[in-house]
Amino acid sequence: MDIAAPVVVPFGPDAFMIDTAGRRADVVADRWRAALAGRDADVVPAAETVLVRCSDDDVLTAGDREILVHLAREVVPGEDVHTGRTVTIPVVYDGDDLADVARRCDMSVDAVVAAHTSTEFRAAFCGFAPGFAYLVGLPSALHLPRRDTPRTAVPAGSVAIAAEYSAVYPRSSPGGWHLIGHTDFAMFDVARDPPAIVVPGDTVRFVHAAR
Amino acid sequence: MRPDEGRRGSGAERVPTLEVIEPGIATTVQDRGRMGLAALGVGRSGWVYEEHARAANRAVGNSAWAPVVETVGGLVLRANAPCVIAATSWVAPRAMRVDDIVEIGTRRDGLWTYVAVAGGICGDAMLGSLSEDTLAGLCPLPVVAGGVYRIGDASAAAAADLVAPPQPMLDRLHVHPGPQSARFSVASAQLALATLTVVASSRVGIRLGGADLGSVTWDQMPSQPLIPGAIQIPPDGQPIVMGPDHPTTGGYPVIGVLGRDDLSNLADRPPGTQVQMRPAASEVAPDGVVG
Repeated sequence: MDIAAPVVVPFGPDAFMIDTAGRRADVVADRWRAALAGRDADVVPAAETVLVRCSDDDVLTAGDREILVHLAREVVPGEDVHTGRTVTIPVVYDGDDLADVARRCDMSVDAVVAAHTSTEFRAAFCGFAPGFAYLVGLPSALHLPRRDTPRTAVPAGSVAIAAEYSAVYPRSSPGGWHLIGHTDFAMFDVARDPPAIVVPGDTVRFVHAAR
Repeated sequence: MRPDEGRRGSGAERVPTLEVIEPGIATTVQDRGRMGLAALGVGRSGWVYEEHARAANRAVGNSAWAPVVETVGGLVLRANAPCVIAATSWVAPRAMRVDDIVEIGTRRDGLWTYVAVAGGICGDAMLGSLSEDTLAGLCPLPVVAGGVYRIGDASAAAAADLVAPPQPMLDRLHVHPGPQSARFSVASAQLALATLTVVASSRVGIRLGGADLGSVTWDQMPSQPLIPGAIQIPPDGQPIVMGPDHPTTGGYPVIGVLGRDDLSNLADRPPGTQVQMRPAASEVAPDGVVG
C-alpha cells in the first residue's frame, strides 16, 4: 500500500511547516527537535501539522528543509509508539456540564466517568494557554461539539471534553469545552522545568480523586 | 511587585533604579522573548518592533538584547540614581540626575515607543525572559504606578549613538501565501490585493477591516501552529494578523503571512491607518502573473 508523503505547506519566509499526512505530529516534532538541537529553533506540533520557526539570525537552509522532510517521511503513519512519560491526574467528577454530557451522549453519568477514567489518553499538542494539552483518545461515544456559547471564565483545574479531545484548563480562562470535573493538579508552573507537566507525546490517565 | 530594594537607599549603597510614576498605555517590559517553549503553549512574546527596541538600546550603549520598556505613551518615570535614558520618540539620549522626572509622550508617526536605560532593566526572568506575555499571562516585571525597577551595571555600556529616527512607513505590505491559501485561493488573492484599515492593535494581534472574507470558514478545522505575521480569518471574515503574544496554535484558516519587517511596520500603525496589501515578490511569476 502506498504511504502518503508529508506535504510542505507554505507559511511565509520565517517558518517551515509540513502536513504530516497521517503521521503523529508529536513524533515528527521530537525528531525535528533532535535534528535541530543547538539551533535557535522552535518546533511546534499541532493536530496534523508541524512547524519550525527559527530566530532572526538562524535561518533554515534548503538543505535543512530537505532533512526535515526526510525525517518526517521516516515516521510510520499510524504506528503506536510510546514516547514521553505517563502522567496520572486525580479528578473529582463534579463538572457543571457532566449531567448534560451524559444526557446528550445517551449515557449515565457513571458511564461517562467510567469511559473517561478507563481511557489512555495521549497529549497530541499544546496551545490555547501555557500548559493546555490537547489529549486524544476520547471514546467516540463522548464526542460532542463545543458549547454554542463559551463561558467567559472557566475555573483553573477544570477537566473538560470537546470534539475528540479532553483537556485540563491550567488556569482560569474563557472556554467553550464541556466541564466534567476538576483537579487540584498543577498543570503549569513556571518554577518547574519543563513548566508544563504534560508535554506532547505523554500518556495521560485520569483517576478518581480520593474525596 | 518585588520588594522595593532600591527605593531611597542611602548614598553609595543605593541600587540604581527607575520608578514608574504613571504607567501609561500598554506599557510592559520586553526583551527578545522566550525561545523553545512554543510546543508547551508558551509563545515567544518579546518586543513588537525589534528594530526600534534595538535602536533604543544602541542609543544608550547597551547590548542589542537588553530589556527595555515598551509603551504606547503616557509613561512617567523618575530616576532614583543618575542614569542615561533614551526613548525612540526623542532624537538623543538624556542624562538623568537623582529625582529627575521624564514623561514619554505618544509618537506622532507610529504606535510603539521603546525606552532604554544604560545598563538595561533588571529583574528575575520567567522562563528565560523578562517579557510580559499579555495573552499567556506571564508577567515577570509588571509595570505599575509606584513600581521600582532595578537598572543593570551601566559601566559596560559603550559610548552612545543618537537614536535612529523611526523608519518611514513602507507603502505596501507583502503577503506570502499561508497554509490555507490553496484551499481559499480566491479569498487569498483578494486579501493580497486589498486596501485594509487597522481597526485595533495590541501585542496579541492586529485586527484589520475593509475585507469581507466571510467565505473563508472551515468548521472543525484541525488546529495548526501559528507564528507572528500569520493572517487568520475568523468567522466574521475580518483578518487578524498575529502579533508577538499570539496563541501558539489556532483553528481558523490562515490565508496569508507577513514577513518580520512588514509585521513590525503594520504593528506600528495606529488604528484608522489604511494599509495596502500586495502579493510578495516570490509569488509573482516572471511574466508578472500572480501565481
